[in-house]
Amino acid sequence: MNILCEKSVLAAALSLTQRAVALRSPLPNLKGILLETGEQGLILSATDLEFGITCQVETKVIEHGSVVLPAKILTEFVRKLPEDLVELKTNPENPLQVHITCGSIKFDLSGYAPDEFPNLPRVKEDAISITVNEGLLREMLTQTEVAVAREDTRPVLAGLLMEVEKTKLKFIATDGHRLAFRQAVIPETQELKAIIPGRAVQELIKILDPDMGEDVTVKVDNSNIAFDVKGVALSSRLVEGKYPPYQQIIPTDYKTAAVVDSAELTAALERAEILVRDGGNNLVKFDVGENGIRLSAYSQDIGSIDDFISGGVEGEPVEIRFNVRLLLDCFRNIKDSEVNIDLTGEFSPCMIRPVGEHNYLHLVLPVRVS
Amino acid sequence: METPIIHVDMDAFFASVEVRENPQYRGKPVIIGGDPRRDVRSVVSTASYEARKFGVHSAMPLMQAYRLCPQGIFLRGNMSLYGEVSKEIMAIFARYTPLVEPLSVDEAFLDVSGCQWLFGPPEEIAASIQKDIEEELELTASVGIAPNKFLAKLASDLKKPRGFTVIRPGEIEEVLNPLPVEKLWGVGEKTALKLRSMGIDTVGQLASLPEKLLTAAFGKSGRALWYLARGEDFRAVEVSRAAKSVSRETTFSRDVTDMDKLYAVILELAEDVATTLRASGFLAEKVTLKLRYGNFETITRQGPLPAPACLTMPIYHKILELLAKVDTRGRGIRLVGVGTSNLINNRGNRQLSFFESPGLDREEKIAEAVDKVSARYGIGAIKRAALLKKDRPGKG
Repeated sequence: MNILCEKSVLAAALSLTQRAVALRSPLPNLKGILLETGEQGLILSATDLEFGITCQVETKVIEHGSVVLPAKILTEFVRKLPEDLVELKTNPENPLQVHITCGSIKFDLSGYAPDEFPNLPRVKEDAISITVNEGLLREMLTQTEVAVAREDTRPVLAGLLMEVEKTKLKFIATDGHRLAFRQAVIPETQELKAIIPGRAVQELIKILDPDMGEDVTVKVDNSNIAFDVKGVALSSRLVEGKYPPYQQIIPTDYKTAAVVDSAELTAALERAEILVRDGGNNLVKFDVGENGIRLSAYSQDIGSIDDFISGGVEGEPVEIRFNVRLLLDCFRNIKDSEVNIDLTGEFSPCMIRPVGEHNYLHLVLPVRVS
Repeated sequence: METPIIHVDMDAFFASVEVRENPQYRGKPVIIGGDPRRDVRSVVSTASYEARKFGVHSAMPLMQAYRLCPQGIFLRGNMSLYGEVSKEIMAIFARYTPLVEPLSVDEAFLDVSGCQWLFGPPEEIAASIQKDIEEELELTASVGIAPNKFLAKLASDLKKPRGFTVIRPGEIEEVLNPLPVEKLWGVGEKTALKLRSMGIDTVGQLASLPEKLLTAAFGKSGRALWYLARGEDFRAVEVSRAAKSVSRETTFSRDVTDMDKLYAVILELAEDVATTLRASGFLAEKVTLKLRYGNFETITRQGPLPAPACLTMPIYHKILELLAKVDTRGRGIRLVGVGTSNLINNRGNRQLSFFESPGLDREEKIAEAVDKVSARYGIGAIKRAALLKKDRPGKG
């Protein structure tokens, strides 16, 4: 193998690909990045067997070939090179050794045999395929990923549920304390249900550009999912198991309905968070009354906060307490100006929706104080 | 002394309580641990001073104690009675200082630095505590008074029963230096052996080594050793030592291969653990299964509960789930234990969850009612039907 590549291009490709590397794996191969030459240039791949990234960059190929190089050291080294052309060339006597040259800098790096590199998770030929706008997909994932369980008490909850029903693409996540639901209209396709591991979702969000109008191709089969984003392919095994019937959790009725300015409420929550985050309880109290929401928080050692967010309220007044972090996770991802807050008593879920929006909702369960 | 600490340790506590309740045992060797003819694999939990003369000591296999002292009075012990007496002892401590750190049912550290203007110097306080215990509870205690916790505990142990030992700042070296290294906190068999191989037998020899040498040999704990050997201990008396885990285990009189029997015992242990969790106001996030096979090989398996729990069934089910992943085929089980950890306070606030089973409130109310009955009529007065069978005469 012999290639010539701009340092900045190679560095970007390496830092992207190395996200899938299993740095703590006992298998040296898994700690590496596979470099192969293709028609258009260099193809970089990494996997921890659950999750994989393949990235393609345009380079000048002088001689075709492939090699596996240790990810961490290669990425760090290339990042610290000056802006110049980098040459990667395998030693003709020892194809597992690579000479990296950049100006006067020479680096000989030992690698591993490419034929022992594991296969990346891959979807079957007959996988269902859908396309979604990149910016929209990123927004949908960001709004729901916050509710994915961080602990593995129930493996399915540590994943994001993806559902396709006729012309609706839906993402659902819940960690038991809150639930996020987001849907969008897509061209009609085959129905499907898949649980994407939280890790893959987080990596995908990092790759997706919020302002790009390009289409992302998503392919799903029974056990794998693959996303294709402008020359970067991200693939993952799916979480096995049955997702709990989330529809039953979403309330269909309410006793108190409030409409408030979301930026105003978010700011109030952020101020309250400063006070309660060190108190260990993270507790804020909402008094939902006639003309709005009175928000108060208290921390024994620090002090107390009292705030009022005016808005329209219908129904019974209610006093309810929340973990401020759960509310902020939701409100920080709402761009709309006004939100509906529907409540059914102090121990029932609170439903948050942007006004006039039927595609996004967030449920947060309250905290019971004894 | 800047911060005088008193360590109070009851003398042969369980045995002394039995003697107090049964005056006919007075002057006789009393051994708590079980019936040597039935509980063949139990160990001695306490031996009275009369029994100790025969060479019986705590943690000794019961059979061995029986061989040494066949005329001894062997008793299973009455934990709930000891618990009651323990509360009375702690109440006596509380008269003198709010800074009491119980170490177990029968010993505690007391920080009396703030109450000397009320009750006099530490020696006087310790003496009147000893007197109160003797007069009101007809039991004896040994006390140690020293500038820190480590030395106070060491002092109370130097003379027993009815010991009264003071270690003053000027006497620390004199007391510590001749002691064998095992007397230091944290020095067990292995550390002692390693120290011996370095030519160190006494605390004095240890204290004379450079600190660097000890940290090189033992890492962080080497530094702690170095301080202890000099009689320095900076830990304060902690009033509420928050529980870190609640667990129960049981050793079978014969290795168990019958899974149904194992399940029943696990249920019983889970029930016991859950009751303790509720009584202390905790919810557990994790459970641990402990198994010891007939050949003494011991394994533990840990897993998270679906939601923090203080009820029997969630703990029981998770333990069975862990047990299912363990190879038990044809292997006799000698000991089984149920543990819970990552305890969170249940008395405060509780983040609600979608996945709490809908009957949870009802389950909690039942458990609360059972706890009340047990508190009034004793543990075991009310039981799960699944646990009744084995107590029925002629069966099980």
